Amino acid sequence: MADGIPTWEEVARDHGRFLYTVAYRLAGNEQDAQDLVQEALIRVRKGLERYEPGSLEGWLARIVTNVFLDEMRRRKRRPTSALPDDPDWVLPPAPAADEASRELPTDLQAALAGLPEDFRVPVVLCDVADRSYEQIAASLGIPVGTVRSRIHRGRRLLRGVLTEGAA
Amino acid sequence: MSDLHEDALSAYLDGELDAAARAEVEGRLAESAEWRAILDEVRETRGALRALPQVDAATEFWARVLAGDDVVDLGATRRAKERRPRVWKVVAAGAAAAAVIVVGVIAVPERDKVAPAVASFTNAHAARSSVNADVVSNLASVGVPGLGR
Repeated sequence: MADGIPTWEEVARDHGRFLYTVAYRLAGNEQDAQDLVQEALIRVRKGLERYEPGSLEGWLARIVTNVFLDEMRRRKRRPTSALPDDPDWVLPPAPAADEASRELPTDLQAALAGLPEDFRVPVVLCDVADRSYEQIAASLGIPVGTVRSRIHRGRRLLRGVLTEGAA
Repeated sequence: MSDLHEDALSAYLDGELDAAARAEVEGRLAESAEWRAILDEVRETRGALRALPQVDAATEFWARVLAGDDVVDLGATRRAKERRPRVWKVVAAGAAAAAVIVVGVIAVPERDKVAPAVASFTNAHAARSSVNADVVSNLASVGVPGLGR
């Protein structure tokens, strides 16, 4: 690491797990998470020269979120090709009702993957990546008030899904 | 308090409110059982989300990534498989076009070096002329000194 700027290998080795966790919570499945991480690391490699030492994980969360949003836009432009190949993006696995109580993380992950991305992204950035509302607003290019509203609605939607699943 | 929206509860839990707004939320919580119930639900959901464990990819994935080249080469992923054929189609089409040009340049003789089959053409013309009745008119005119003009 020179001048507080890590090498690409250091980013992958020391922060890869964080990057993968955010990617996995956004994408909802392993394969897509790996794709997101690889694409994010390409952008990291290209962008390291411009990186200004600060919150590295904030920067990484922002990059992987942008990769995710780009991917979602790409798939929306080509819905007919995306749908048969990637049903997980559209239809997250439905949790079995009897597993709801004993496998909360899996259940919660499924519920999270089922949230519309407008809510899922701010919730993941807040509760998984631990970003502030202001940082999330800057990442997504939306007002802080919108971030606040989406996080709250996202959490309430999740609560509703989990409650239904447990019933 | 009329401007206070329910989403202030998430902001309250996230420490995103200033002192005045926090006091306002606490005032509403003190008087509203509904708000307290919502706060409890949101707190529980938020807690569950934050308690989600970190996840990691398989060791093989990181081995590939740390090998370096795979970060530039997305070939191992499904999406790359979707994209690549298009890239390779372009590359393959370019290569095929180049190959056609190269083959054309090497295999096709240069135009200015083409030798017309004059001998066979002349022979064929002579043979055809020999079976025609009017042989004389088929002869090329020849200037003879002292004749004509």
